[in-house]
Amino acid sequence: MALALLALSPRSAEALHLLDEPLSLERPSPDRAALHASKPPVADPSLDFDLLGKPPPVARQDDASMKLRRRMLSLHQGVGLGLAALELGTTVVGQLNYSDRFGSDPPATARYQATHAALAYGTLGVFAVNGIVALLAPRPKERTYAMDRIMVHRIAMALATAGMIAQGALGVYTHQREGYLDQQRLARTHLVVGYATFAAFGVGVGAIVF
Amino acid sequence: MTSTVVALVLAVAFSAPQGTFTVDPSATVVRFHIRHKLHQVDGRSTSIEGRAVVEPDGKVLAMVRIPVASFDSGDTNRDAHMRETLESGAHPFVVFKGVASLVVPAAAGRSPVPLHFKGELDFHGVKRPVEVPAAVEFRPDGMAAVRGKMTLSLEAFRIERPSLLFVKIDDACAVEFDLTLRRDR
Repeated sequence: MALALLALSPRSAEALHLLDEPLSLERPSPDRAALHASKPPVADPSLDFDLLGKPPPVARQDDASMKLRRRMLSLHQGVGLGLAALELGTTVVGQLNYSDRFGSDPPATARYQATHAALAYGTLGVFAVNGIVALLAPRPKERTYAMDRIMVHRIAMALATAGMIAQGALGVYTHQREGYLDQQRLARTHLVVGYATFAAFGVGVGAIVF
Repeated sequence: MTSTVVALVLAVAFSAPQGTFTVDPSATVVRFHIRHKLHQVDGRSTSIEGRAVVEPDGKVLAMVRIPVASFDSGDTNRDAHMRETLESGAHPFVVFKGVASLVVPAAAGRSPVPLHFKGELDFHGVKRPVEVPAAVEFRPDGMAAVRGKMTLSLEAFRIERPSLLFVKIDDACAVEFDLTLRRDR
């Protein structure tokens, strides 16, 4: 009865073939030895050893300043995303302003002018502050330069900075040329530089995000 | 008599190559993979120190040390950020110590032999027990190649996960190692 129950009871598939082997007090077969070797073998490993000795000297990083750097760059990232929306708004309203002033449907109403000016000054101010935050962030001790995402970001933002400065000067000058024949030409240049600045800004943000 | 001969044959057949093996950094790499909703980051380090001692009974003691500053993900800013996150000033090295048993069947030839390390990983100043499955291949020129992989939880090592666009990277960090060791003379 007991033998019948034993025969019917579930068995581990791994051990099934052992039932077919005769009982023996000899050493286990090579297959079994290999099987045991692949199982977790050490029940209580003693790790009280040091095979490598003293570690080599490394340039010590100042963790406190690196934490500050991280906070500043996180702020830079957050403000940068808000700035992207502001820059988009400035460009869109700038295009509307240009179309209103110099488009094919007279009369010009100048209804976008104040909004565009406010957005433009806002964008310029936030861009400057955000750039300063990034530039003032503490630098790591070991700094390497390579053509990677951050280098693309830096180059694109340097171009965007040049564009922003040009836009500020050109926008003010265009506004001062009210009533002169060259105002439309200046406004068109301002528009083109605005799109180029927006593109450089987009590349700079995209390099980090994607 | 028969059992003595069988025991002798088995002892020869399953004896592991004994001795001390040292990592050859020029042929060794440890890779890590982390994931963000927008990015999959694959990094590596080749500045690896390591040594393993295979004792006559097949017990293997191993120790590997990697400088945090050597992690290279192909993006200098990200690497700097990673050093900040891992507080490399206070914890400049990742250190693994482990023990395993090695039995090399005669039939194994040059095929890899499984090794299961039980040990401890010291990462970000936090020591945690880890189990690392690996495979070792002993070459006729006295070199040994050890390969394996494991997945670590960053939070288990009290690492504040970095975020991009206010979304944190995944907690899991997959680590693969491909170590080449040279037998010491």
